[in-house]
Amino acid sequence: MSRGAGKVVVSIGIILLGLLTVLPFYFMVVTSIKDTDSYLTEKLLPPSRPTFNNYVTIFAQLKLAVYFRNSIIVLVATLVPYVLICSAAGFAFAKLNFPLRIPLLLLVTAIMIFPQMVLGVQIYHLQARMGLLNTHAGLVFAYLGYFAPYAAYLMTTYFRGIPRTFLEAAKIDGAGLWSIYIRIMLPMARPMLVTVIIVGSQAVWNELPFSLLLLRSTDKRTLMAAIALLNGEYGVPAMEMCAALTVVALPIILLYVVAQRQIQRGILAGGIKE
Amino acid sequence: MKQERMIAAALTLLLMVGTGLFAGGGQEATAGPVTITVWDWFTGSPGSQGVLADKLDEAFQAKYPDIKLNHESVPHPPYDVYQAAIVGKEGADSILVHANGQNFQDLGEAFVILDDFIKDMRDQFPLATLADCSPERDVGKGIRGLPMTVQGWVWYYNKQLFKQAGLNAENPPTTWNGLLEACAKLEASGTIPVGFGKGIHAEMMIAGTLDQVLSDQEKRGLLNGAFKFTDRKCLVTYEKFADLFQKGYMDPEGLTVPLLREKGEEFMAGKSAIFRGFISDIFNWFEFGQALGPENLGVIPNFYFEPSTHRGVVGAAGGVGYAVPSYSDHQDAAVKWVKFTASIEGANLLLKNGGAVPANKEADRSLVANEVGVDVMDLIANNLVPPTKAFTQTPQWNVLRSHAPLMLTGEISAREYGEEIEKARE
Amino acid sequence: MSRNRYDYQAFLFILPLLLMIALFMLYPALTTFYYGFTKWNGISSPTWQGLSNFARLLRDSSFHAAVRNAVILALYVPLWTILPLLVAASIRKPVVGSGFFRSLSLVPFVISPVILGVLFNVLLRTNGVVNTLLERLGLRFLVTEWLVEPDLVIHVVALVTIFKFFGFGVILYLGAMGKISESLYDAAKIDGCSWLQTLRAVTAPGIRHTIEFFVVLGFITFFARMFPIIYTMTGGGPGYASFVPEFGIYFQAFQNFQLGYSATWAIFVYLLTFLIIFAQVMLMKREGAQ
Repeated sequence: MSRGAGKVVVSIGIILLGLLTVLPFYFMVVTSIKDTDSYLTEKLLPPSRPTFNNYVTIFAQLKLAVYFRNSIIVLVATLVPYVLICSAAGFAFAKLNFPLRIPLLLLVTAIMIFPQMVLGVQIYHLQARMGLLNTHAGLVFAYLGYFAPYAAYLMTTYFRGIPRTFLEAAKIDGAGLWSIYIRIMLPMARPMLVTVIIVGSQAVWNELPFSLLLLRSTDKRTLMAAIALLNGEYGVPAMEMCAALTVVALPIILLYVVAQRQIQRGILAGGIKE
Repeated sequence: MKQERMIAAALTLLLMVGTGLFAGGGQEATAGPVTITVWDWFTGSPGSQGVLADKLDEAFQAKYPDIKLNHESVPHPPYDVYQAAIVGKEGADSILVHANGQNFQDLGEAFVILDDFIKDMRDQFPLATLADCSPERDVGKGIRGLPMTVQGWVWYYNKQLFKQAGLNAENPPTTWNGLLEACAKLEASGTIPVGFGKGIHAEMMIAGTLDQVLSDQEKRGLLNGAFKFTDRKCLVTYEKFADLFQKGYMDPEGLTVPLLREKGEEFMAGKSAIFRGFISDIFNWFEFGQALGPENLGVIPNFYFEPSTHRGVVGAAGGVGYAVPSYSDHQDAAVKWVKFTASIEGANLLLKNGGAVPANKEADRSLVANEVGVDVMDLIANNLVPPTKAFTQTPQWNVLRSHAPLMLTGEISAREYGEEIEKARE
Repeated sequence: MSRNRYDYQAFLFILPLLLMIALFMLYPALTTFYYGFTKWNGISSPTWQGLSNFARLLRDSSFHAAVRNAVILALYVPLWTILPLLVAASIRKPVVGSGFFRSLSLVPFVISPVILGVLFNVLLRTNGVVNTLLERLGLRFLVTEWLVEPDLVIHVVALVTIFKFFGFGVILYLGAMGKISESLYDAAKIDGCSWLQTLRAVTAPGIRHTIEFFVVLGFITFFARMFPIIYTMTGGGPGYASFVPEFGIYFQAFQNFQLGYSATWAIFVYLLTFLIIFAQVMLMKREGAQ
């Protein structure tokens, strides 16, 4: 009986906890539909007369569409090479034998810990000299260098789980490594590839330090850097800011709703060490 | 197998290159009429600045149809962007630079010397404003930009709210004690006496007051350490503001709610009575005049207290001016832009649309949008001193700004505040 | 596959990755170690300073604040680790609402730290949502300037970070717990262990490596991933109250234009990072020996 009561308590507690984790976002949305007066008078409850003016303002005045476009460009331009590079490297590390294999793999794993800001300043200057500063291409390269190691690590782990027999059978059939990779390994790795794509998308979309440093003019700027700057020198009224935040958060929320299991799998793949 | 290997390598390379081109985004040179890129933070911004930028573009294009303008906005402050462009030798053909700080002095060597190009209009500017646009504030080192505006900080006040508080709206306080008395009455009448926002507002108030407190020599001494931010005159100034804040006369929300644009707009909506604003660009006589009605807006340069050197003065210098980085491939066209914005024609547009006070002495005063603007221009003509900011090193300025909230709330003493600023000395 | 035969083609497969890493990770990392000893404004040539940058670092009050804050953040690692563990252990056996919680709790994790930072910046204003909520709940004494009280700011930042990764931790632990044999729990029940005792005797040891991983992640996050949230929420301020070493790198480079000095800060952050890697390697070795 106390067991039953205990379960009820836990249930209530866990539901409340769940609501608590999204409470800030409730306020975000509620604030975004207020006008100045309703915001000043009531901070917590929804307004009696909700308005979508703030959403109009942020697109009209704050050029959010431009930043959206840039974020999408950078995302797509990164994902394609990202997937190819990481799966190829993962395959090689897991299944092929070559000199320095272990040291190189260790190097790749160690790089995952490098702090972004230490690299940021130097990458900034490197790219300035290379003429890549303030270009989307430059940011893509920085992302590839920074996010690929983790994905390569995930792919390596996954490929390790594929029995060697597949590879050996294919080799006996006389297939070249490249065709083995394309025709057999990649299709088999699809679940992990999906995870890698989702993890990568999340990482690139949400990223700040590199995009802040490497993209400078408004027409190149991506979403997160724009939001961070919006809140800086030229602050924006709270209601409009919340509208902007809501709009910017929406794509990731949608992705999460659709790909929840993949995201959870990504967490488990990277983290469970038992 | 070898064939496949080759294909694989080529594909990978191609993909990277192709992605690079697709994502691309450098500046492409256009054939035909010259296109110049201009960077500033005016274009596209809300308020009168954006309007002004559009009007300048229009007028320039009308005058020079063979030069196409690519006007891009950069974040404010823009100096890391500028630095990147200078290092990479690639970027806009003309950039907007602050003349009232150390920026022309920090970056000046990277800009084209304009002296030969501006012989025809040099006399239209006060010498001090030209010096503000030169390395080491010395026109002998080559003028690198043309001052478009004059910038400084003054106190604006809402006459209506003054009347409601039982104060003489036409004869506002000019001393610090007078300010305190007025604040007491304003607070009693239910309004926020001194509006205050997060960000640059604290430095506008503190450093702007130092403009009146310090002598010219003392200000110059700040640059090399002959005079320090821990000097008694500075400490007295800090303490005055800490006192003002701790008495509750300054909007406490200003610690966390930004000046731009929230707190400024609150002043325009009549929520606070006294507000430190700009002379040019935004939150100035033009914008406030439009919002409150010019008959309702008053101006006070600075509040006097012992041991200030001056009385009733405002610190102002060249505000902003366009420069041409030496990496530009279109220097002739870019110089035309620079000259246009600072010319009489440009200055008149400033007066009419942006409410900026132009540096050009020959601008048509009759165009000024409201009589408060005339008051401000009179102040500049007759009661001008150089601003403290012009003689403060950039790292020190950053500390002056970032530690101001701590000083205002009393977390650190005035002396500690001054010491922290001094520690940031290069 | 014969052990002795190398597949040199493999290099083609890893070449793009290595190229990216070499150019945009290793090279910048190495140049940091050079510039950290110079004085450089980014435009003219750097001038060699020897060790004086480091002397300056030690004198710098912003550095003192950064180190102090790094220590404070490190002290939050236990909370970071244990809070999700307690929750995960509570719902190891699913109850009504487990799924609901699992879905919602990851939302802060997937949302960008930029959004979170700006959002909390808005919510924690003087008369903002949080203070209003506290007042309505009758907790007036808790109302304070969350982002201006210098002693408070870094703690607020730490708590928001823990908030962000809380769901991640729960999911992680739950996944690992699933691998523990149920028979161990039955044995504990027979022995009459309380919930807490079971946690300490069965669960925690059973997912030991995952806990270690999460601890290391905590250190990495607090030492090397704080920039977005600090930049958006507090800007390092007020004063230096929420300065961390990572932020100092940015501040010196892009606010003070002292690029050599900024690299000096970067070297310090590298040392912190190496410490973490070193500790992790030591841990692995100890595990291996066992």
